[in-house]
Amino acid sequence: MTSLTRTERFAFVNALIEDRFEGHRPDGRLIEPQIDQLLRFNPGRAAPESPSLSIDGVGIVDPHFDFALDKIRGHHALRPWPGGAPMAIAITHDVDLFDGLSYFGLRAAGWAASTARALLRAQAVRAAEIVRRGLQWTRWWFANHDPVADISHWQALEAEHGVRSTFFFLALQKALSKEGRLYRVDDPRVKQTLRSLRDGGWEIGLHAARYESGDALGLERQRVRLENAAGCRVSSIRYHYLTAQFPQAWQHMVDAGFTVSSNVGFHPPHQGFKTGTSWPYRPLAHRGRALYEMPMALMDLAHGPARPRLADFFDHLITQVKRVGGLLVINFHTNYRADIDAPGVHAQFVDILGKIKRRAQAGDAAVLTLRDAEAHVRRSRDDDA
Amino acid sequence: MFSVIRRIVQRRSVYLVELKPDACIRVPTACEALEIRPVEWSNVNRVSDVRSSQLAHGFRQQLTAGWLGVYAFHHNALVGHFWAQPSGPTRRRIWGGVDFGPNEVVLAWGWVSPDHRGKGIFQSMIAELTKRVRQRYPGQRIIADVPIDPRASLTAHRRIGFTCFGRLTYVTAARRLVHRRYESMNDAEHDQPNVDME
Repeated sequence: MTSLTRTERFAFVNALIEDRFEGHRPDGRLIEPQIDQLLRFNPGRAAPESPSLSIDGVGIVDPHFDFALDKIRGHHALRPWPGGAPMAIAITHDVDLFDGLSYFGLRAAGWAASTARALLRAQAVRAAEIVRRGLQWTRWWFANHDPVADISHWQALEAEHGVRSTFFFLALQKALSKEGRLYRVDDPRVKQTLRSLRDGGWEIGLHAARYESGDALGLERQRVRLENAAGCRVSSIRYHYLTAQFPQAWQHMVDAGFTVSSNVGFHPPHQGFKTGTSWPYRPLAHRGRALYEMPMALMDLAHGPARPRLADFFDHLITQVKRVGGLLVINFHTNYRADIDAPGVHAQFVDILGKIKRRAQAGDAAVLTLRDAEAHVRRSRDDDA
Repeated sequence: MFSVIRRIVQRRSVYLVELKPDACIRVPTACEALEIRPVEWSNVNRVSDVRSSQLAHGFRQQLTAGWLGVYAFHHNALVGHFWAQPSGPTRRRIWGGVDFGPNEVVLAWGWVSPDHRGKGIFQSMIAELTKRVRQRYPGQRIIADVPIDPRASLTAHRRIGFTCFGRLTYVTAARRLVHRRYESMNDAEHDQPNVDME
């Protein structure tokens, strides 16, 4: 648990109130006792201690901190989102893989090894699933067809729904390393895609690598590489595999020049609000640092009981977020477009996108990139000052 | 056997036409209910309504690469498309044998639905596309390669203001250029285009 002095606690509370309420604000002394849950961090893969509900063994945590504040706030008004919308949605994508066909021999060897391992463990179903995947990818390799190497598909899909999102890209120097079979940030195809996203109004964020993100210098190196490739400023960050160690990771992010973190979230299969809030907040406000944390509440996955229920989780979470006027951050990996790798996941994303579009058209939600959400909260705060 | 050879070895003869940076664009009278719209992320996939999802994928790659495109809509149904590829600062090759650049733009992927040909849609797309190219890449020459036969495409380009500057014949084998013959031509060597607009 992070221990703050009383002065620091009230600095944190005042920042929280500033970001959340407009005009006349509630007394910070009523809120101060509640903030410990925002500052307590369980290890990365821990299941929720007290899920609000459980669906097929998957724990869902509602924004209970926001509910508690609602009881305290009385007549004080929450800040509206752009266009007067009562809540906001941020669509994000982790770009873990840029393509499915590069170093194909390695992939094939990996499938062979996984199949052998599954058979040795008498997991025949798992072995059959791996063989099926390997055969489908091999057919695609012969046909030179790669459903993963198509960020343009996501651009067209989102533009047709009238939205823009944040894409988190890795900034690696090598496509093949201990990080895995991934991609180089200066690959001409990656650079072209980054610039296309930039020019089309999408946000580019850093997907911080596992082995280069232990300190601010490592994060800054990655940020600069990504900015050079994309030709634009990068201000948002999400760690690959959500490996950020709190609270020190926030200080690293600030020192490396980031202003938005979207790292507080559950590892699959669990979903929801890990620290109980859907609102952006400044986790280092007590040190005068302006970094915003925008918690991620829904993330896709390739296996397990949560996979076919993502659209249901979305329906539940958006209802909760609307109650408290917050921001719902969702994350769908671009490589899960290939149905053979993550059956039904992409179809659920398209379904969710349709729901988001209808809400936006009805004025029920503002759809923002993380950078837009940050700008909105800062601007609203500054207008009040 | 011969069909296999025909697929591997291809011969192509085209006229090369240009629109110089200072040449006027003659805008045709548009046919009724025709709209020419820029290709954007929100509409790029519309081409799969009338052609194929594979082509939509290709067009998305073109949008990613910074090409400019226009779609023709007739009563809101897509009936044509045309694209412009900038060369950038380097020399490039398209269709296996047509060279362009540096700092030039080539028109490519022109198509009108067979049911809507002869209505001036192709000319309308050329005019709109070249206007957009001029706005984005002022001062650059715009070129196109048009079939020698039939003459409809050449006529359409010349009506807009393009002039013929050469004839190119080339042969590719397994997509590699193996033979190329270029003849410089004067636009006056062709029949005078019918520039009377409807």
